[in-house]
Amino acid sequence: MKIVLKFSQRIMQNPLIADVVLETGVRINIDRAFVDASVGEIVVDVPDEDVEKVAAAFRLRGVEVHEMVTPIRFEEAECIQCGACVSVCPLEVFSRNEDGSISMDLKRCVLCRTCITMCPHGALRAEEE
Amino acid sequence: MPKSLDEINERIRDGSVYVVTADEMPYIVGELGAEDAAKEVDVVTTGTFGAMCSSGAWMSFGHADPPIKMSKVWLNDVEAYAGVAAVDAFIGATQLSETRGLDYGGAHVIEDLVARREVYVKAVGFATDCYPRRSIETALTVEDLNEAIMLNPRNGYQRYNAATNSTDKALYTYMGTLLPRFGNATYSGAGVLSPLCNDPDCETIGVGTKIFLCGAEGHIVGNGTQHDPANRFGTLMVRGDLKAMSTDFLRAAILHKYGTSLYVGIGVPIPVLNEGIARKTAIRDADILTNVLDYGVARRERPQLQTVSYDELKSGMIDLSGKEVRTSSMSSFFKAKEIAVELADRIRTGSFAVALPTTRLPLDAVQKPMKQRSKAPLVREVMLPSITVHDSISVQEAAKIIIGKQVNHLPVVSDARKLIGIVTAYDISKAVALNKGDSLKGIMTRRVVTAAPDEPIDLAARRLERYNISALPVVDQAHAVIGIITSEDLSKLLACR
Repeated sequence: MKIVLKFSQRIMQNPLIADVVLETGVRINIDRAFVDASVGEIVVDVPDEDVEKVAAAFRLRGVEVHEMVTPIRFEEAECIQCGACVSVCPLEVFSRNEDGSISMDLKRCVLCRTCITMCPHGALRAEEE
Repeated sequence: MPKSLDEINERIRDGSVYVVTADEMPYIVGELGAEDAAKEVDVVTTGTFGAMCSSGAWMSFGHADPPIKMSKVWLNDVEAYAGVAAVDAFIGATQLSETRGLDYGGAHVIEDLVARREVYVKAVGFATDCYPRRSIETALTVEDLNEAIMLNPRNGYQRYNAATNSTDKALYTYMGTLLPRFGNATYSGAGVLSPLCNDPDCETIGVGTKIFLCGAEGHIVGNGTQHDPANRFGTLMVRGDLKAMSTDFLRAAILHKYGTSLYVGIGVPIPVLNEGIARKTAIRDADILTNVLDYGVARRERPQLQTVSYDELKSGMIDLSGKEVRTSSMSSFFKAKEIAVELADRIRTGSFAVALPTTRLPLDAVQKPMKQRSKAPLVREVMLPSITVHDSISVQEAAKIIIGKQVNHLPVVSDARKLIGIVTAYDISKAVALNKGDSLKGIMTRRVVTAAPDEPIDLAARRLERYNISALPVVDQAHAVIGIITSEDLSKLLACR
């Protein structure tokens, strides 16, 4: 499952992920990370059975943790089934069916936004926007 | 036995016509052979739905009172060409809004008109004795126009080159986003359903051929611009009534950091008059080849990396000299098929008769490059000699050279005189301010963006802009520094032009 970690500048200097991995022994995969002078936001993929343990360890260190909910909104009426999105997605969310139509598995999405700008007819948007 | 067009149209009228879509023909011909397939099948329908930049519409607004001769006209702030007096104008799909940048253009105005949305019109002209009015503003829908005629100068490309990117930065092109280091490849075209691929010798596709155009009945006016059938890059000029079109088969497109284009849906019926035509419509995706071009080289002749078939492109992955590269289609095969099926239905139900061209399209058209009176200046003609330094010198020595020679950039070279880094006046000041490092090795930038001596300066200028830097060392094939080109020198050069 993918979870979003948000942390403030106050704890940014701490090796948060390293500490949690060492403490829990859970293998975490970083899907996307954004860190600037004031805020950090990291999306990590954690095995489903370990999510609670990992989330608790992050919270203990002052990190805000929440589950990643479908981050991309898809407007079917605007989709022309071209498949421009297919090759630019690093997580292979989109795939082409036999008849040329496009399927998507949004659970894999980490909101890199590449598909949003690639889509020629505005069928994909970020949920928060 | 050849069949006549009259026989086919008679079958359309009495409901006995046998129509198939072009992707079914390889199987039918494979099973029956071309001779029997030609007897069985009366019409093959093709279809394509792609971003066709060379599209637009003529509009006739009717006369105002007092009348105006429009010399400039805008629809939703997108300028249309009005140099055909007095109330007619042509709106092109890629013309951009003067207020909304790259996100709204002529294609959107056309989609708004087809969707029966109101469009804001503004026009200006100069007063004459017969047209006294100087300006007008109004709002109207497609129904308020006397004529709204789609006329697309270049549509229905037979096939198109696939695009990829060798550079280390993403490129934003009319072929979509091309990820760095061959991160993906994009392509366009319906392949097996493509109209001109099914009639490559233009036996039935020609001037006057009746077609399906964005839901309406349209016609082929002639060959499109840039028509190059000898190289299998034929194109079509098409016309149809915008008022009868549907947004199911027409959509505006935004290509990120490139601009707007128009998705146009075209279906062309091919009457199967003889065995030869049946055989040609049996073409498969695997038979249609195209080149993969490197868009990382921004020249007219882009390097051709490989030849691939539409079958390979549609599989989602191509092999580019050993590297697996994922592919995306910019056109919609799904919609292309929908169009071919819709056209087949219209023919079956008798609402669409088939016509033969009155004039054949040229098969010997040749496309020349633009005649240029002057050649673009090359980097080698404007570069200056570069002061280079060895990586063993100290920060202080480098500072002395920068001050003494009055330069801002110092390319750093190895013993073999190869470029290994660059330091700027800013790097030196920072190192001094932070009291950091004695040797250049610790402070130089190692990944240096460079220019080649034989490239046009426009490419160097674009690279300076993209990487947000102010100088490019010029290196030869052995990566030895032979000069430097700076944004300052380029600005001076352009100011003198």
